[in-house]
Order: sequence, then structure tokens, then C-alpha cells
Amino acid sequence: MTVTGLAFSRVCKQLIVVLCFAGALSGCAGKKAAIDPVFFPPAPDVPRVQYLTGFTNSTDLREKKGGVGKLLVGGSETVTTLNKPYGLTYKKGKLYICDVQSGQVVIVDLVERTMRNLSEETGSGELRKPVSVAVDDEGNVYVADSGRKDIAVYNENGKYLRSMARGLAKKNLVAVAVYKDFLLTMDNASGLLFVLDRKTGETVNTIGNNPDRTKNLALPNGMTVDGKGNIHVVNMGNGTVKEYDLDGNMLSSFGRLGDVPGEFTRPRGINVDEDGNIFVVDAGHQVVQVFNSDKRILGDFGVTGLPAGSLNLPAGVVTTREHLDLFQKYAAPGFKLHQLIFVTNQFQSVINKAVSVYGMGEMLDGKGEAKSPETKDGKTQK
Amino acid sequence: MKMFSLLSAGIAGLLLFASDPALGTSCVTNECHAALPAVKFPHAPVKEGECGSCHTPLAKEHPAKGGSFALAAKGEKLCKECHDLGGNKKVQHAPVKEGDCTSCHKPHGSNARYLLEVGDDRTPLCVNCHDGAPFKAAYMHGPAAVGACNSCHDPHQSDEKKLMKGPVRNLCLQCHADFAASMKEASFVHPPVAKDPCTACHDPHGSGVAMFLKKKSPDLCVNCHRKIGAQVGKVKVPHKPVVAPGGCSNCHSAHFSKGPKLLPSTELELCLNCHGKDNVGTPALKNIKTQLEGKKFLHGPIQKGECKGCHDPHGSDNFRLLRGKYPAELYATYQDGIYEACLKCHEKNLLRFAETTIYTKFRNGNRNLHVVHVGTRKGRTCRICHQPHASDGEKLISKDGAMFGDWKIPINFVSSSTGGSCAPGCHQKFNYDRQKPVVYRPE
Repeated sequence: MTVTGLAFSRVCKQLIVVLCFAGALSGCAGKKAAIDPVFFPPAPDVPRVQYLTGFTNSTDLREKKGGVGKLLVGGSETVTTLNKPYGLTYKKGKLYICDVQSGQVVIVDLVERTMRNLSEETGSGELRKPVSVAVDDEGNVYVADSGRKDIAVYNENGKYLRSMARGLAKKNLVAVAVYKDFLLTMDNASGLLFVLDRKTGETVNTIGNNPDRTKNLALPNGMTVDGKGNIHVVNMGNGTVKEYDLDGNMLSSFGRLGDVPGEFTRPRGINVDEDGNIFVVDAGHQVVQVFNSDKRILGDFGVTGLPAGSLNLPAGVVTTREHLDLFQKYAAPGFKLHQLIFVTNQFQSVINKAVSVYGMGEMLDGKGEAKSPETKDGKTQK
Repeated sequence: MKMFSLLSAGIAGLLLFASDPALGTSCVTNECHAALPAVKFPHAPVKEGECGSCHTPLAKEHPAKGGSFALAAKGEKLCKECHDLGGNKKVQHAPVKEGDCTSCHKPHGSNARYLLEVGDDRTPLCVNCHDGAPFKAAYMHGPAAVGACNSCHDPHQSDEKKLMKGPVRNLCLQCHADFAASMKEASFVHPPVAKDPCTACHDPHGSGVAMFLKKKSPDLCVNCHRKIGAQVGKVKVPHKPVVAPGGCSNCHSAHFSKGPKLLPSTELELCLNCHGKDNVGTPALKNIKTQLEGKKFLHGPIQKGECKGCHDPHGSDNFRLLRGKYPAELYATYQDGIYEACLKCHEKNLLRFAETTIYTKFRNGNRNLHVVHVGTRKGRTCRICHQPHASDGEKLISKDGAMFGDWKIPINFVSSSTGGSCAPGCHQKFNYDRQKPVVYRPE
């Protein structure tokens, strides 16, 4: 029996398909090479932050992966994937992540380990290019959409409620935040920050039109409100982070454009934790820089070139001290988590997920006490 | 032949001994050695007339030139014939070690017990060798004052340093049993008192400082409490009790207390011991007790019984021992930092912005009326309107009036849900309203 060239080619193709399939199956069962814990700063310094894990789609969140096997026995599932995540926020066990590419806000339930779209509405309730998201205590979701040029408001079930801040954007509303009865948003072209009444949508105050221009914004990008109601704004134009009260008084300013620690090239998202520590994402240096409440730099994390834990064009950052137990298992032995940090990556690769999860904490000794040295003022530096 | 010679020598010796007028009862006659047994406490052999137990005749004649007797043994060996001198402990008194028993004891007898030259007051004996200065100090420990050296020291030997009869702490507490019992019940014990020998602070013999302390307080205390020592040494406004005689002990118990910080009572009670009277100090201190009594509103720290929330009891560089800067003058225009004493707890941005919706409710519309009062050229200090300790008026606003010289300025403050009004002795009555601002000077 002879085998023609065509037939041989067909057999080879079938063989390749079978081998690929077998390879895929075996890949599921195979073990990943162990990677040492990735700490920031690295040894021999005292570790403050550890890269814990990352996820891009809903399958990454599942405890046990069995996708192909499940398909083989006839099951089906809807996989939600983050394509180009940007701004994000955290509320009551859930992450709300803007996906600019798919025009969606994806809700990640950290407890249930699920991922779903906020809303499937079309027409007036359809999102186009969501860049920033905020959630109030009632569960209402406010989305700054640079395509719609407004703030789209949804209830906790994803039902579109109304449009806010329409007409305020000279170019794009790039950030949104909620504080008590106020809704805050910001236009990057005019450099104005608007304080709106969350219920009526009425503009209560406009920040950024001070005659003293040094107290105004410069190409603002990221914005957050801390627990005291002070607004922190990242300015791409001059590399500063400025702090305002709700009246618009500038309370502090720090940072500048540059390439040493404490300076920024392309600063993006910002978050302030309960201790007043300030986290600023820099898409240029591709790190998150951490400052204390005195605006003194404490360090950074996510630098490129690591086997795990590097950021890839990061955009947004959010922190929480809730549900630490869900992520403690990813921490190195003895490293006790105090806070979780979620950072979005606009691009993903084999080693970069759409969302990187870091843990802030301290290494305990055998007796359960912190090994961290104390600073002069007696406070443990984190 | 040999036997004969030994026997003859023995007989000769016996005859010599029996015929010697200086031996046995014959040593003490009206003419000779009469004084030896004529003391209150003669040495036992003397009393028994057994002079030969210590003295051995050398010559036939007595008295004889060059001595007719020798001691049966030299030094302590002689005494050891009868007395158990021990010698098995770590520390030996120097005369004991050198076998010089007679440097303290009279070998034939004495009018004081233990064959000593001195009675219960051993000081004259001990200072023969030891420095007598500590025994002439202004403040003396009782046993040292009466020369009862042996109550603490063993004169011969001990396993403790300084020939102490036991560990110093235990020794002290054996006598000071009431102190030990009280300490056991105390909630807070000064660590050196809890574990260290009392001699860490006290000179056990005496010193020039009351309670025979090694140094006067606070010098003694700041040996350990260095941070406070540095503070006390450089502050511009010292707290008088710290630098007055008694120092730290004017406020703190040196040994133990029921309350924290070794205070003899609660912090507020302690402070009011002086600051709750009308006649302490020149000029007299303000009577804070009367300021607090019956008042409806107390300042936050005082509600917790704390004066130290605002005042530093060890001294401060600031007016009124405050923990932060605060103007001593009645008028001081606001600048960052000069009202630190108040603003380190109260809203730090209170006086920074002329327009606000956030930092104060004392505003007409958004106009910050705190800034109007404090931020202007004639800045009114907080105490003109607010009482620092207590008031019957809310926000500690002076209801009875703040002191303005001898006159109490009435404030006449009335609040409403959206504002209020004042009719003080400073200006005519003004209303203010946060929601519907009052127009003061209509155009």
C-alpha cells in the first residue's frame, strides 16, 4: 500500500491535531514550575508587598480548572474575559472593573469567584468606553464613559437609571468618585473637577479655576476620595498629585515629572488606604508607587522583568482590607496580609494577567510577631 | 633511763605550776590583775579563773623581765580552741580573716556584751576602721543612727556582699514588713522597688537628702528616666513641683500606687490638689476645681479625667505648660502653627480658609466666622470665647463670660439648627445662618 503525498499530508495534519489535543489535555494535568514568592522590596530588605495572583477571565477565578474536560463530557459555560481593563473600584466583596475595549464594566465577585458584566443594556443605557467607576452605599454604579461623555448610572442589578454630568466634559470625563451625597467627576481637557449632588445631579462646586494656576489641575487623569472626604488628583501634565477639600481648597501637592522614585512619567490611577497611604500607578515606569500620609515615598511594586508580579501598562489601582482570608493562601508562609491591592493591566501576556493582586503585610517570626523594624516615631513602616 | 627522765620532768613541771603565784585563782589578788574579773561581762575562762587555758608560763619568776607567760596559741588559733569561728562563707570580715579577734573583742572581759568595748551603739567601734562620715549625715537610717550595725551586717562572715545578713531586699523588707504588705496589694509597683535592692535609690546608712536618698529628686529619678530628665532640664516653662524640694515625689509615689504612673490618686484629683485651691502660689493659681464644678460641658480630655491631654506635667516650652504652641497674648492673628495646642485635636483646617462648607459650622453661608474672629489683624485667641476646661454653654462657649481684665465679657451665644447669634460685650448682636446667609451691611 502506497500513500500518496496528499494522503500523507492529511494523515500528518490529523496526527498534529490529535497530538495538540493530547498535549492540551496533558497540559491541564501538568504542574506549573514553582516560582519563589515575589516580594517588594526584594530580599534582603524587609518585605512589605507580595505579588499574590492574577486573573484575566472567569476561569482564572475558579478553584479547580476543568474546562476542556467539561467540554468533552458535553458541558458548556460562559467565559467572561477582561480585554483592556482600566479604572476599577471595590465595594462589599466585589471589584467593578472598566473594560475599555469591550465597553463593559465587569463585576468580579471575590467571594463567589464569579465574573459577569454589569449590564447588557443597549441604546441609551449602553456603555461605550468606560474608564472609571464608582459605587455608592446603595449599590448604584456610576460609570465615567469617555465615549458617552457622561456618567452613566445603573442600579445594583445593572438596570440603567440615568445620565449625569452630561455637558460638563470639554473632552472626556476621565474619573468618577462617590463621597457621601456627592458625586465627583473630572474633565481632562479643561482640568476642571466637578462636585455634583449625587441625587439631583446639580453642580455644587467646580474645582480647578483658581486664579492661582499652581493650585489648579494639569491634564488630570486619576482621582480618588479618601475617608476624610479629601480629593486626590493625579496630574499627567506636571506629574503632581494634588489634594483638595470639597470646597476646592488645595491642601497639599507633591511629585513632579521625572524618573527617580517619587517622580512620575505617566501617572494614572490613584487610591488612598485607611492609613492615608497613597498608591499611584505609573504607566511609564510600570509600577505602583506608595507614599505615606506625609507624602514620603515608601517604595514601589510591580516593576517589569520579573518571573511573576510585573505590571504591563498598568492603569487603575484599588485597595481593601476586607476578605484578606480569601487571599492569605497565596501569601508566602509567615507573610501576614493586612491589605489587598488590585491593579489593572491594559495588556496581558503569559505572565501578566488583566488584574494583578498584591498583598501588603508583614513577615512574622515563629512567635507570630512582626519582624519589621520600627521607624523612629515608633510606627511600623509598611 | 628514758622513762625516768620523762617522769622527773613531769613532776618538776607540776611542782613549778603548783608553786607559781600567777596561775589560777592566785592570779587575781588585791595587788595583781584585780581589774580583770571586775567587769560586767568577764571572759568565761577569766570568770572561772582558768588563766592557764590561754596563758602558758615561760619563766619561774612572775613578773619577770621579758615576760613570764606566752599565749597558748597565736591569733585566732587560740580562740578556736573554744569558739567555732566558721570561716566557710564567701565574705569574711577583715579582722576575722586576719585572725585579729582582739581588734574588736576584749579577751578578758568587758562591761558590754560580746566582750566588746561598746554597748548597743557599735558606731564608735566600727568607725575605728570604717569611714564615719555616713554616720553623721543629716538624714540617717534608723539602725545606722543608733549604731545597730549588726542588725544588717554580720560582723564575722556572710555569703552576701558587704557582710549583709541576707539579700539586701529581703533584709529591708524583714523590718519594713508593713511596706512589704502594702506593696503586695498595690496595682502598680515602681520596677526598681519590685525587683531591685532598696539601695538602688537609698543610702542604707544616711545621706544629706531626706529619706536618705542617694541624690535629691529629680536628679535621682532622671538617672533612669533620662528622657524626662532632658526635658526638665531645658524647658522654658517648668512645672514648679518638679523643681521644688521633693521633685518627682511631689506628684509620684516613689514605691507603688493604686493608679497608673505611680500617682497617688487619679490624675485629675492629683492636679486639683494644688490647682483646686485659691491660695496656692504667688500669684495664686487659678482654682480649676471651681471651674469644673457643676458644669454641663467638660472639655474632652477632662471628661476622661486627663489634664495631660493638653498640659505637660513635666514642663513645656509653651504657655501654661501646653503641649503645643498657643499665644500667651490675648490677641494673636492666626498663622499656621501658633494655635497648635488646640488644632492638634480640633480640625486643623479650621482657620485656614475664609470660605468653607466643611471645617466649621460657625459660618454665615460659606463665610468662615472663625477666620473672621481669629484670622484678622486683631486675632481673638480661642479663650476669649471658649472656656478651656468646662462651661455651661455648648462648644465650651463661655456662658458666664470670659475674663477681660476684671470684667467678664458676656458672649450671649444662642444656637439654632442652621446657625445662631451672639450678643457679646465686643459688638452688637449678630446672627449667622449657614443656609441663608445674613447680610450684615446691605448695599
